[in-house]
Amino acid sequence: MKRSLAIRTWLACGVAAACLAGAGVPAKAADVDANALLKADENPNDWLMYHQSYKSWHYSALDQINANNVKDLKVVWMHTPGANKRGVQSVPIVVDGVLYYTTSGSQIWALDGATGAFLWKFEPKIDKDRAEGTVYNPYNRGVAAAFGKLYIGTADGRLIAVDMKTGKQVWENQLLTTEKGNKGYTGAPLVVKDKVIIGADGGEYSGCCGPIIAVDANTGKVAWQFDTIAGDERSRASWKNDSWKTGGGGGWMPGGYDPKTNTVFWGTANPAPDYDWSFDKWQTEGPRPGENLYTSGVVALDADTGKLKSFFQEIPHDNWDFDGAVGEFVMLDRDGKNYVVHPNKGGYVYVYNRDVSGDKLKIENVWHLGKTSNFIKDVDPKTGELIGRRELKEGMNKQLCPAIDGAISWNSGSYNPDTGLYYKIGQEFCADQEVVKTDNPGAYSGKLYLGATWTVVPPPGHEKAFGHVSGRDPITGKVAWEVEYKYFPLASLLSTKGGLLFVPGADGMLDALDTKTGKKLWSHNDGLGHHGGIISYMAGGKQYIAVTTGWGSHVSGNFKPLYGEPFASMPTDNGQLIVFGL
Amino acid sequence: MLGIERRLLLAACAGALLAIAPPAAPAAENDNSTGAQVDAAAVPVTEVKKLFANNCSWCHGAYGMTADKGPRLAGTKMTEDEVRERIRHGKEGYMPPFGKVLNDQQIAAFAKYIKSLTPAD
Repeated sequence: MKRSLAIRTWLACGVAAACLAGAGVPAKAADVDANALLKADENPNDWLMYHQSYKSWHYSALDQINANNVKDLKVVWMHTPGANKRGVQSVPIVVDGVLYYTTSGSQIWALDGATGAFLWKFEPKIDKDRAEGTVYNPYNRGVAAAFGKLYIGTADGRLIAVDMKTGKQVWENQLLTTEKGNKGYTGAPLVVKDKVIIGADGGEYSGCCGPIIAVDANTGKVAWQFDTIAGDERSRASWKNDSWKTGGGGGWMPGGYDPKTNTVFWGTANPAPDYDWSFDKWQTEGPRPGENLYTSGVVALDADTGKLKSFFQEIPHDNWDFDGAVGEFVMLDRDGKNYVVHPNKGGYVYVYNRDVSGDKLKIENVWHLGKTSNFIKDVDPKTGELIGRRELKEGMNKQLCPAIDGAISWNSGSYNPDTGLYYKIGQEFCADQEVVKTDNPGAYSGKLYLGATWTVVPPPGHEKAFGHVSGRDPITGKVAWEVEYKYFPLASLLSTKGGLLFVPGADGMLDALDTKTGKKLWSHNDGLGHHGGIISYMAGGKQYIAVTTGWGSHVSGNFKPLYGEPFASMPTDNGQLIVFGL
Repeated sequence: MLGIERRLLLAACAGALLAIAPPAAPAAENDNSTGAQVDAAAVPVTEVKKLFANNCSWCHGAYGMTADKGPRLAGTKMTEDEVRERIRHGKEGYMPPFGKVLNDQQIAAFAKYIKSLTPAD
């Protein structure tokens, strides 16, 4: 017995030592602390946060599955969460071999990463009267993990902490009240140090102030709040006639974090009404005269205090609903410079210097991912200034490109350090846009405030809408390769050390492309459109690829009028998690 | 012509809201309904169109004449009463209720407008 025990002990110690000696040690749930999150990019066995790490690369350093053997990739397990209105939209995370993902109504599922075996489910009781009051219900796009807890926002404006082992609620905080309009949460939170940060939705709704809020990760107590509109005098001055009281705003997708300067970068949502009839007199007339700070851009906040360090408004007085909330924050260091690359919904990619000492973020470059846009003529790559704005007149504005859903959506691209390329989806479709001089719905009323009606149409010179996936230099935008997609993909991308770029398609096809050339190496029909996330992780010594399926988001609603089938009959109350392995 | 177009648009909007016709929803506690008789004609089409632009366009294209995120409203098979109830109570998980956003007259005017729309095809 003693000998047996000694051997077992020795073996256990040896295995543990071997694990601990190398990089990529799977984190235990309780061990996911601020330091583990800082080093998430060095731990390819787990997928610790929505954007994989603070660098937002959506890159896996695993290479068991690679360009040579991807032909043998097959489904190893699936999970069907049941009725899932408007499809699964989340990016899963993995901690210590356990996969967590969310579905409609902020449900969380915990599954064994190797087998898919059910561990637990968390289903918060949602205030339906409130949640159903917005067009974003019942979306949920993911969780954050730290300190043995998962954090999730709800459409009725709460942030909830759940024990990672048991699925039991630890605390909740009703962060958003209806006092200044009805806002909620659909995006995943971001944990930075000892705080959980989350941004509100509601850019389309009359109200204020689109807050980004940080709470203590252990107690849920509010630590700081940054209002994306009307939080300071400069912002208020940019909304004449107190129009900030109906101004929308928000920051509905997770931001990024730069530990070098202890700065949180967060993308801000559009102002309300989405469309303004004042044409070229928007500085002084119309429903929201002025530049409408800090909507449709980026704010750089002190991670400890929430104090604004710097900002850049990518779309001053946004008149097309091209907010900055959609884009990930890709952190890159090159030739002694620290960059953060941020795509805007209008189809332009902003390359900033991560020096946040100036009042405004320093532009290093701006490049164009879109192909058919005409809402502006260009963006000055040195200053970020919009050139040749196409202001909208009251009445019909034909073939406005891109349409309200942008040339870039909220799915994330992927940066691959092995190729040095940034992979990103572009979507090309337009709208015949009739701008309507509507009545003010009332300060803080929480009512929809769109100011237009429209019909989506193909771009000029094209019979159909289309999309593209390209591999580019992230700083210059120079194209290494590009693949056109008949149906523009709506899901996030994943690239790997194995030389693979996974593209979950709108029609249900999941493609694996060669990261160097874009050549299609493998494809699998998942049976339903994708508009969520895709990740890779290790469990039991084996690499897996996990992707969510499901259809029914706002943007996916365009596919029926743009393409007809297969989208006309594609269900919008379904979705699955599908896991692939060799 | 414009009047017809506007009527069509309204009808389209309502159709989308009504495309999957449910039995009339029970009265909710969270709406503005007074239960009193209302005059749909008291709300002019221009007003309905403005309300449509703010509240319906997210899901219903071209004043409801085209299918979009929501169904085409023009040509809905729902009755005017059903359209009214759908606007008031919404459809869980898909369409917000507008019982708190619009008053009885506005909802009635919407329903009438939507039912007046004729599909283009």
